[in-house]
Amino acid sequence: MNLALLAWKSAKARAATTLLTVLSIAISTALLLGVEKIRDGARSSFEQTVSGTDLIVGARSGPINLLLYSVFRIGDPTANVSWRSYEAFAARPDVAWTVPLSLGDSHSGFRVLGTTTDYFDHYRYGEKRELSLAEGDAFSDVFDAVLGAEVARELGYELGAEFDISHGLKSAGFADHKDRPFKVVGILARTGTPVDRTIHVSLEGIEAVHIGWDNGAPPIGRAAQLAMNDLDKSELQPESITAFLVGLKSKSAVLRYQRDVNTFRAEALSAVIPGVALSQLWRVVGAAEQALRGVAVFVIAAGLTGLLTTILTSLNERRREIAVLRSVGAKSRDVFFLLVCEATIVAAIGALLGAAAINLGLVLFSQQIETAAGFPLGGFGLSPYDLYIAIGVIFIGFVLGFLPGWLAYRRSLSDGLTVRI
Amino acid sequence: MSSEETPSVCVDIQNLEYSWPNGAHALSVRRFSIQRSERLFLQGPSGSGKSTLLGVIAGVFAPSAGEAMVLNQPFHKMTAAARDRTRADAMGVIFQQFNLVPYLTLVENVLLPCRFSRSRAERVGATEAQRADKARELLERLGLQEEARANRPASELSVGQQQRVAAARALIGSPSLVIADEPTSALDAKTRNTFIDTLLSEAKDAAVLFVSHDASLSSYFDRLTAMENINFTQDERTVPLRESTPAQAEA
Repeated sequence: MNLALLAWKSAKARAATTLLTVLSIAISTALLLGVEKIRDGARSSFEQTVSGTDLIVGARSGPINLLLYSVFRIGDPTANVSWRSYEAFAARPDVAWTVPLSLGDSHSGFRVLGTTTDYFDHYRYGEKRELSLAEGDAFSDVFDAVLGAEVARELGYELGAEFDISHGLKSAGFADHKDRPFKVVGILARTGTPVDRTIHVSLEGIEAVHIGWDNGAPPIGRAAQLAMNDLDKSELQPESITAFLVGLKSKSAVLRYQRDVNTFRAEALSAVIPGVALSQLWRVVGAAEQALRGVAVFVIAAGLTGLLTTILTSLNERRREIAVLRSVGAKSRDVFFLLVCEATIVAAIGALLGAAAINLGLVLFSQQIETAAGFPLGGFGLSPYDLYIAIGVIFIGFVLGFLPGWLAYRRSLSDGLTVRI
Repeated sequence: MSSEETPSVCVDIQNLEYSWPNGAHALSVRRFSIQRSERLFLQGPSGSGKSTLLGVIAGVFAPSAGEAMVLNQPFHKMTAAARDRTRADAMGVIFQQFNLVPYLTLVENVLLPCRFSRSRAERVGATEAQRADKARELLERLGLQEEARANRPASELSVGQQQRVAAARALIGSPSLVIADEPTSALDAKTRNTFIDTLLSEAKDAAVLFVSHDASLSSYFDRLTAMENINFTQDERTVPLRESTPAQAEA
């Protein structure tokens, strides 16, 4: 107790160097915890995003790519699925439901998803939770749109707001479909998934904005006029979609269905099981995570080396102080523990400060981080892992204190009561 | 605790040998003693082994051979921790300079021995507040009333003031032995005389071992001993034990 108090006062007396050491330990602890938290947040967010879907079917590509663009709205599809193939696979007797997905347009940087109202009935996230509307209704008309919670919040759109969508993903698309304004009819409740950052419209709506774009360019002149006048819903059936989600009546049919898709002769398609694709994704990302974690560990090592350096440097100027303590009755092992205490105290303040800072920072800036990442990060807040790392850093600080402690101990034995400088 | 008994002999050293861990022979003392309440002036130039002798008496160095009875305790047989305890309980030490722990207040500096010895703390006062009062009283008697009240950091004091704080720390809790190693060599003549006067009057019943190279100060003391008359080693550092003959080592 006494020694801890002395160590504390001694550390406080060298406030500048102590503070710098504390900071370097705090920063390195925050970095390690931050890497881990963002990793966990991304993982839990990804794992929460898709639930209850047995298979995702898209044009033939790698499973990770298909999963990323269809569900997470990351990256772009390589090719489409023809409407005819979709209908063939949707009509199979073992299918409980399907949800077609059509991507490729955007508004103010948010992706526009063309789908059917089945999406709101069958899409599940988290622990099989359903989407629910915070305001309004699902779309019923061609130019109706249902916004994700984050879209509505960031753009400040309310029910009845009108907006255009643009081709591609630039936030200011170079080819705005200005002739076709969409109207907000519903806003979804927050889910913590990419759904929050998606604008949902009907497949017909997507078709409608592309009428006349036969050459991949906006219609001009007479073609435009024709296109404008000619919006008959029955003619708006899409020729192709980007991907579709499948729910089967029986889990035992999944592998057979998947094999049938993958060997489908009429079109090159892939079917992936979301969980399998996710675990493949984690395997790919795992290497990068290990590298990041490795870097963070080295930064902690650097911080703790700084601690050792500071205390070792202070030893010389403290020979007198130690001789004085010996003269008033301090044992040699008291001198040892004094330095160990000091190392532990500095490491402890640094570790706790770092843990507090990263948790506070992630809570305060979660909105900005989500916007920057493009997908929500869940699971922030104090975790047992924070505690283990903090205890680990404190323990290493304690052990590192043995070196200056031992040096001072040895020195206190040979110096006795006089210090030769 | 036996250190609280009052032995008639405060320090009794016989046939003491001390060698440094590297083998250098530092000390060879046939007989050296301090009586209870005796004020002894120990004179010797630097390198005469007096610092080593003080280290043995204070209990920070263990004798290589011989007997060292200090405050009735057989230091030559005791563990380092037990000697440290005796020092905390019943000794006060004043150095030549840099006596104070810079990050502690004056009162905290004075009360340092109480942190390492419960019996000494209890002699000073039952509670922390009472002990602090005692420390302030003692500082006032040593002429540091303002400094004690302002609770100034030790580093802001003059050398003379620092030495007086060191004296207060050595004297707090009525130790049986006060060791002062050249405490006045950094002071001017006037401050020096006042310092020695105050130290000796505040030390009351304690034995005082005052070390100095300056023989002119010996008039304040009961007895004078010169290092050269008690230490029969020629040089405290340059003569390694393995080069000395057995006859020298036993001498």
